[in-house]
Amino acid sequence: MSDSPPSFKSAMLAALPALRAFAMSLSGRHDVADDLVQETVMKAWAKQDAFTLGTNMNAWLFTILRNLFYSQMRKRGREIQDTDGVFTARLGVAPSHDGRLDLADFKRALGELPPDQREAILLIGASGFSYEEAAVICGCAVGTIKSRVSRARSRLQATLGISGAADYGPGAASSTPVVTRAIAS
Amino acid sequence: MNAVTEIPTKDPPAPPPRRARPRRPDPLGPDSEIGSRLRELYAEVEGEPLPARLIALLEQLDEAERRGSE
Repeated sequence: MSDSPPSFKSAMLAALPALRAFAMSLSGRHDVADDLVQETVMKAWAKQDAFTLGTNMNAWLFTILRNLFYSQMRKRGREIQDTDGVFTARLGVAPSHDGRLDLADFKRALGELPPDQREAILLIGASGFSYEEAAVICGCAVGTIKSRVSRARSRLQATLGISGAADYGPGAASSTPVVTRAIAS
Repeated sequence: MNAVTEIPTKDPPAPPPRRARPRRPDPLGPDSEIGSRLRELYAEVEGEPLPARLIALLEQLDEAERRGSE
């Protein structure tokens, strides 16, 4: 047999920036994020036979990383902690070019979301996964992702006082409003 | 003589009326404020140079594998 698929390394390399961003959003810290990414790379490398080239490498890596993150959290025996505002602690605040909305406010609002909702809206809205892919990554039903995204969006809109260009009707995503478990202030 | 049966001009049936409801814009799509903010946030992190240790790790793994397969 010839050697390993030559593109595996480069495909991994190409996926790293997005993977890091996701790790950062989970952990809220650069150092933890980079450890996570490193472990993910090693794990993925060892399991590369399980990966079919041509399929979505990012989704596969995200799944591995996410599992690592939550199993570490469990081992440490603590609740998944809300980071202090996802990226807020580390990233400089970019000036808002259009004056629509201050990015710092946005980060704060994002940081106040329940972790599962934040994760869902980031996977869809920032990482660009489909609902189906996000469901695989999170190990839950597509409908769950949709309703998390929907609730996250509503909360962000409410917090930020925006309706956005894309005000959409009710029921598009979530069938049942599961708002009972509202804001863990 | 040439009672030609007229070839029915292909008059395509009127296109089905577009969905009565206009398709709503993707709530996290390019036109949405929240969507663009989310991407902006990620772009900051994604734009950072990759830590050298990650790149070195990939090189090592690749290297080890190539040696191992010889």
